[in-house]
Formats: sequence, C-alpha cells, structure tokens
Amino acid sequence: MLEIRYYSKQVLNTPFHQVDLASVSLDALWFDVFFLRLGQGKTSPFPKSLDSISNLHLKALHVILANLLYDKDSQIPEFPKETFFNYLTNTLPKLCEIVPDYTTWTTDAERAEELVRSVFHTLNLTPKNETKEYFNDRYRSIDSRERIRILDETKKAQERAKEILRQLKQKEEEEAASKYNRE
Amino acid sequence: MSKVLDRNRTPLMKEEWNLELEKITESPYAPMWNAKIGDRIGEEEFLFVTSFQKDLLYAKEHSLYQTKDTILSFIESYQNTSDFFKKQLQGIPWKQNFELIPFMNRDDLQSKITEIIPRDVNLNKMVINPTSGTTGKPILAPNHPKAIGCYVPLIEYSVERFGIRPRHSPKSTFAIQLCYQENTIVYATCHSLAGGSKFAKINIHPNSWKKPSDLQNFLTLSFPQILTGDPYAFETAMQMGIHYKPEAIHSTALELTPALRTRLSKYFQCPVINFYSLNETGPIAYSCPNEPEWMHLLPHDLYVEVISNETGNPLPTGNVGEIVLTGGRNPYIPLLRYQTGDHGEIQYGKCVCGDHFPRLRLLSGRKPVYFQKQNGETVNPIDVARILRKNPIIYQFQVEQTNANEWVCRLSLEETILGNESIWEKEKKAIQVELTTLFGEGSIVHFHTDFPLDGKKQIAFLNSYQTKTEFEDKS
Repeated sequence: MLEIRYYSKQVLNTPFHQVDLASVSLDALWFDVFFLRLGQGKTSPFPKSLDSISNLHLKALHVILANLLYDKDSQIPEFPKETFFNYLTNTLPKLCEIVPDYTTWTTDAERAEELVRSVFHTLNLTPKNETKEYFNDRYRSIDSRERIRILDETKKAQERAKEILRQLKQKEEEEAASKYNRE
Repeated sequence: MSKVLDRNRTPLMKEEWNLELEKITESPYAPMWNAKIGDRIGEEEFLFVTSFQKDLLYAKEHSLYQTKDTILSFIESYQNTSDFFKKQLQGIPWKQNFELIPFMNRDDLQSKITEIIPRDVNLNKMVINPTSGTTGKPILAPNHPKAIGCYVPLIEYSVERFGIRPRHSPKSTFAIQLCYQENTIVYATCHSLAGGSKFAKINIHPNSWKKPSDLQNFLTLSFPQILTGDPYAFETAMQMGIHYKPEAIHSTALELTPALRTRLSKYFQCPVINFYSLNETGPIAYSCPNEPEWMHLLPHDLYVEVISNETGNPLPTGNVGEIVLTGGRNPYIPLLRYQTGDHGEIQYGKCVCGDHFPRLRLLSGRKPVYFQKQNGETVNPIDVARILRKNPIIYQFQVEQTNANEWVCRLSLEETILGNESIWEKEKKAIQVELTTLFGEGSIVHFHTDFPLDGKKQIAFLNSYQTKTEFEDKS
C-alpha cells in the first residue's frame, strides 16, 4: 500500500474528460477493472448488473472508484469482491445522497480522502505509514455520515431544549399541583 | 366551585369526597375562591408515593439515611441521561472521590435546565409551583405530581413525630394553609394520598372574604387538624385575633425565630413544627420535638453535606457552612451537589426523640421582612415579588423601604432591555404604577438597574426605615 495522499490524488485527478457519463456502461467498466486486477475476463465480476443505474452522480462515483482501482501502480492488494459489491450497492448510494454533486469528491481534497478511506475501511485496507487506530480516527473525523449523525443529534438536542423551554413557559401559566405547604 | 367531579385535576377523586368537599367550598362562610387546583395524582403517581412512603418508614426505622457511598447509585443512574451530569462527571474519578464533583447551583437551574432535565423523561406531566420568594431570584423549578405527592407522607411523618395522627377521611380536613397577601390564589381540594381528606389554601387578608367574620367561621367549620403557612401569616393571624386550636402549626418558607415559635405555641396552644423545604427539592428537614432549634433530615433519598465557603470542602460536625444536597425524587431536577444557598451545621448520631437521621441547625435563614404603608397597614413582600416576577425582563431584584413613603427597587435586567432606553422606560412606568398602588397613596419608588446577577442568593427585601425607626425609638 502507498500513503493515503497518493490515493486521494488519484480521486482528485479522475479523468472525467475521457468519460461520457450518460452512455458509459458500469458493467463494462468494472469488467475492465477486475480483468486488469485478476485476469478474470470471462464473466461479469458482480452477481447483478449495474447498468440500470441512471443517476449520473452515482455513476460518476463508480467511475471515480474504478479509476482508483484500475491504477496499476496503486499497490492495492486483493480484496473480496462480495464485500466490494455490497459497498457499491449500499454505501455508495448513501454517500451520493449526503454529497449529491459528484464534482465535490474530485475538487475537495478532504472529500476525496473521505471516499478513499470509506472504501478502504470497508475492504479493511490500511495505507502506508498508518496504524489501524490512526486510520479509524481520521476516518471518523472526516466521515460525512458521522458528521450528519452528529449534526442530527445536535439538532435533536436543540429541538428538545426548545420543547423544554416551551413547556416550562406553558406550565408556568398552567395551574400547579396542590401541596400542603409552600416554600 | 363546580359540583362536577373534578377528575382532571384530581384523577382519583370519588363522589363521596366531592360531596364532603362541597360542604366547605359551598359554605356561606367560604372565601372567594379564585382557583381550582387538584393533586394530579393518578394510579401511577399513587403507587409511586406509596412505595416512597414504605421506603421512608423503613429507612427511618432502621436509620438508613443517605451517605456519600449510598448516593453513588443515584448519580450513576443519571450519568448517561442528563447531559449536565455527564459534563460534571466527565474525566473525574467521582466514585472514589465524591468531593471532586463540581457543585451545581441556582444559576445552573436557570441557565442549564435543558441540560439538567434527563433526556428520557416525559415532559407532559411537568408542573411548576411558584415559589413564595424571598431571595429575589425566581427559579422555575419543574416538578412532577408524583414528587409533589411525596410531600404528603413527608409532612405526615413530621406531624406524627409530634403525636398527631392524620385522619385519612373525606370528612376530615388535614390542613389549611394560611397566607396574608393582597393577591394570591385561594382554593380547596381533596388529597388522594390522604384518603380524600380535605385541604384548603386561604388568604386571611380581608380582600379574600365576603364578610370579616367569615374567616373565623370558615376555620371553625373546616376544623383542620393542622395549620400550615409562613411565620408572617401566623403572626398576622395572631394579630387578627383568630381563635382556633389546631393540633399543630406547621411553619415553612421563612425563618421562624424562637421567640415567635414560643408566642405561636402559646397563642394556638399546640406544638409548632418548623419545616425546611425548597421548591427545587421539596421537604428537607423538620424541627426535632425535643430540641426545636435542630431539624432532622426528613427524606431518606437526599444526601446532605455542609460545605466550607472558603475551601469548598465538606466540614465536620460542629462547623457552619453551606448546605449542599444530592439526590431527591424530582425527575426533572436530579440534584448533584446542589448548593442551596442556606447555611447551617450538621450533627450525626442518635437523638432522644427517636429519629436518628442527621440533624441540621440552620443559620440566619430567610427572615421575614414587612413593609409598611403610610396609613400603618403592612404590605407582604410576596405581593411585591408577584409584581416583579411576572415580568420576564427582570432576572433578580431587591426592594428596600428607605423611608415612610419611599422605596428603592434594584433590578438586574435582561441585556437587550438594558440597551434599549425606550422599552425600559415603558416597562418601568408599568411596574411603577403597580408598586405605588400596592404601597399606597403618595408612595415613591426609585429604580436602579445595576443589581448584580451573580448566581448568589441575595436578600430580596429590606426595611431600613423600620430598622432606623426602631433604633431611634430605643435611643
């Protein structure tokens, strides 16, 4: 494995000028990637076709990752195809939902790093000069899903605080409960 | 008062209770009722309080009061549900070193209440009982009917220590609370936790009655076992010549001086029980039947510390410091080393009265201060507090009578108001009208807006004119 910055740079340099997103076949693209990596060229690498994906931003994310894994010099070791297929079909659409415009992944260095760490995290790969702890820690700090979760929790806490203040005001105006003495 | 069973306010109300209640609410001698308040005790609350009472009696019997070690499980139960607890406990070995836990104070209740209230608690049953107010800093202490319901066994325990057996019958009136204010709520109800026995809060001020003689007749008709109220109300009742012999006087809210206690006991011919209770905690202690200067810690679920003002460390027996509380049963305000602002000393060990819970001797509590109109009538400071507290721009206040017809009103105001002269002028005018009406014709009220808002309990009412006059009379 190389250092993380190498892979991030790959993402940032995705050659979109060579791709027509509307017409590109994702099945063909992934076939090429795995043909290069494993020499398996007779069957499709995945159990299900991906050509039905019509969202151009999601297609673009496939292109970015295919470019990352197609790179002969990347030193990315072998990984289980099933795990990767699950990532493509489950995690990637969620990332696309959180960061809808695909160009963000290729123009913002932190998002590029996030995408690389996201896929490496799933495939249990650790870049050069990093410990597992460092990798996880750094991933958590830039993970959009984690960020959204924290924001969501903060929002919920704020809403509850607002509700408490509203209830306090309302209850102050309502009658109290009877008690024998006063303070 | 309505003849309809009021199950919204008193969910367990029975028809026979209602019939008995109507005998006092519909009486020709009844005061002019202006509120309807119930105990809000439903099945769930009833079970909670009966279980609390069982634990209380067991703990009293076996002298099982809370200690630094036994209160840890209470703290642990809130560690993950109250954000305030989480922050206060973060990074400190509090189980091994209880004293490392930072204090919680009155300011926290005002500014961090949304963090204190546990995340998993249902807000629907929240109630707010207004405080009578002698410190000038209103605290909106949210509470739950089940925690307020616990006042019943706690108060009953305290009166039983004086040989009084509360009669749990709708035919009985357990207590009547006396107030003396220009304006306050006046109501009658039944307490489900006392077998439907009746309770009324009345205002002995002439404003509250159709005829002056009605008050005396109403008390005789209602025949309460005990009278509750503050020393100010009892003193006024004596001055008014009220004739009634309750089984006990239950005094709270303000400091009861030994001299007044003796006079009250002689006048009403009954024991006088002094009670220490805070809106944010509920009952804390009651006076020992043998040594009335000392007050026994009442509930079994509160841990009491006495803390040095200088060092913040707990003080050993025999030293005076601030009373700090942990625990309680108010689900909205779990207390974590809560500084009450009250001072006193604590003593442990057996007591001849038979209650071996720790004893507190309070130091300079909340002394009653009265204002006087030029025509000689007295003004209850609670009426002043009522006017100032209802205004949300006022955070803290102090009112001083400086002369026969002059008052100084010191306020700490909301910041946005301080920066806006025209709004403040308008508000000031409105408050001035209300206060001068209360203080009587020809009264003058001066305003200062630089009163500090530092989270400390400040004396809210001063009567320097009275002190000056008393001094001149003596010399």
